[in-house]
Amino acid sequence: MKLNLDQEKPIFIQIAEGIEEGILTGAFPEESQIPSITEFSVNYKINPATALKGINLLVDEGIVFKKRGVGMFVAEGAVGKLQKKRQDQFYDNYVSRLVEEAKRLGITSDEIIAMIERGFVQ
Amino acid sequence: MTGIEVRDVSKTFGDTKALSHVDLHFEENTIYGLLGRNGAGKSTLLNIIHNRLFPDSGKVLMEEEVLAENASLLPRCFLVNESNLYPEGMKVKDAFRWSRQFYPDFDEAYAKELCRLFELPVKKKIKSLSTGYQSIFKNITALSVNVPFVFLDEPVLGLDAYHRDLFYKLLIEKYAENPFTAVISTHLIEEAANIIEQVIVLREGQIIRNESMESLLESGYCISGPAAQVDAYIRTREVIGMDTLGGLKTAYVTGKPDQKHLDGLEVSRMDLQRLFIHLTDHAGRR
Amino acid sequence: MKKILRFQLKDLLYSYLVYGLVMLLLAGIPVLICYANDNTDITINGNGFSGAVFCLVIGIAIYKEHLQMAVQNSISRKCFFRSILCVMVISGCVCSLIDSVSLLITQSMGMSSWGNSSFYTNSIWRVGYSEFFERAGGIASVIISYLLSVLVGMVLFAVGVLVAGGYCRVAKRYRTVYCVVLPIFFFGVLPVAGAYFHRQVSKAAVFFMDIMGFSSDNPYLGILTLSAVCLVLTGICYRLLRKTEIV
Repeated sequence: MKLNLDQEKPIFIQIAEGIEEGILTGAFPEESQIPSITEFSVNYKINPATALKGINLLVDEGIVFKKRGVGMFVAEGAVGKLQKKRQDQFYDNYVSRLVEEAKRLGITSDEIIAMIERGFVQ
Repeated sequence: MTGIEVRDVSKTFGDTKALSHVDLHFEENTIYGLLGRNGAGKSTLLNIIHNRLFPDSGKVLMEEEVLAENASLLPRCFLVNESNLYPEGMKVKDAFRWSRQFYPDFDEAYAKELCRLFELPVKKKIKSLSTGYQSIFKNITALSVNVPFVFLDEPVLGLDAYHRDLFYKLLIEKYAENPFTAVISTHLIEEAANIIEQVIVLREGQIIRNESMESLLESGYCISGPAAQVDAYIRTREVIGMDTLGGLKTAYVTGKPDQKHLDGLEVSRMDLQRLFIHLTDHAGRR
Repeated sequence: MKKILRFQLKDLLYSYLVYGLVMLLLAGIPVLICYANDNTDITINGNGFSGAVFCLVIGIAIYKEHLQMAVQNSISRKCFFRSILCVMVISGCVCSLIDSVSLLITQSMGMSSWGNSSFYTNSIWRVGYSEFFERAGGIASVIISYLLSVLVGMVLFAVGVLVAGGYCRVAKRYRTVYCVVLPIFFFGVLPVAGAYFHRQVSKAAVFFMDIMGFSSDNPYLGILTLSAVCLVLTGICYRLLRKTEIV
């Protein structure tokens, strides 16, 4: 999992998104153990409380669960949950921005669709 | 009240007021960032807390007891700063041995392990080390001492990027495994920004900010775009500072961005370094 | 307090050892002199003061460094002061012991004959309270002179601490002035003033002889006076230390 912590988003959200990314790409398979709070905080030089806050977001969503005294694991069905969540966010995160930029550059909707089709082919 | 409480502390050196009426509370198991420009009073504050300097007025309390000259409470604190108070000719390993005498929880084996990581030869005399390695020696002691309150005045002074990184990682590791209160004063804010939970900003001996890092960063935002548009936007808003580059202008504004008037302007999160520069700018508008 | 005391003593151990060794070597010097010069009778007066000077030097030398070490390790000034008091007593005892032993060795060697020469040593106290010691005899005089040496050692140690403590309290920019003025005052201004006010000086000398019990040949009075002086000096030391800031 690679993170470039920047100032655009709060760190704990970036941590949560980083782990999500790891789950989606298969770096953290379902039911496997993820690094501890200490490992996350040391690795990214962040306060453990921040790391905990980020991971708790995922715990609340049922993507990650904690086993007392053992560590934290990716939940069964986490990938499905994440895909669903990302699909829901897809419009806001990508489409609306794409359209906004297209308007600024004077690209028509037909042209965008053509480009998207080209992207799928390649 | 738990933790350490600084109550109405003032201190003057000659005719310079180093601290005036400082009130603070350091909670247990929290990492504090003590920020301020040179001469803002950071070192004086830490020296007063650790019974090295005496305040002209006010007091420092731990568990409702005055900390100054308190033989039973003082050993719960450890301060390292630019001055090296170890005796002439004392070797690194001897200093560790004595540290264990003075602080029963000092972890000598861990200290030696850290020396290996930092490539600090334990047989060298402390005062013969370079400035950077003297800092490293002091930081290693601070990390191994295992007391509830550790004060680090400019801990990364003279350290190269690799050693700074290593130091912060070790600090976090220690803190995550066995929490304690660390108060870090530093000029290199960016590197410590994600570690710090609470920010205290000193300016000319007074506290101008004392809040969580999160609320400090959320207390404002940056807005940039064409100068005329930015000027129009900030006319009715409180501005901490501004940077201009040609026709482009970036303003640091307090509060939350107003979605209705943001057309063509770019909003970004407050940048701590920038915020700090503008907060502590003597000549700047506040 | 135990911790800082242990540190102080450990730091001083080496100094004590070196001093002891040197003094034992010096004990043999009169013998060498006797061998070198035929047919001489030497009387050495005033032995047993070197330990006191050694205490003075220790007092000056260790104060700042040990105080800094104490402060770095969260030892309160009060604790440090108690430790310094212990070091003062211990240094007085150790140095006097070394002096006494060295003196005893010299004396016992003086009893045998060395070629055609002979020598005889007198401790400073035997000179000061000569009649008392003649009356008192062996053991009592050993104990009394030991006690006196210890006290003088302690007084000088306190003086040393006072000098160093004053130095620490003086603001940085006045420290050079302090270093220059102090010796000039004691060894320049005072003697000159003494020459000018010679009557007062002789009065003071008489007063000193009186309170030390030299005039009345009473070492107990000396012990009392030295104890009082020591108390006053340590009191001043504490006042100095209490407000000393370490940065």
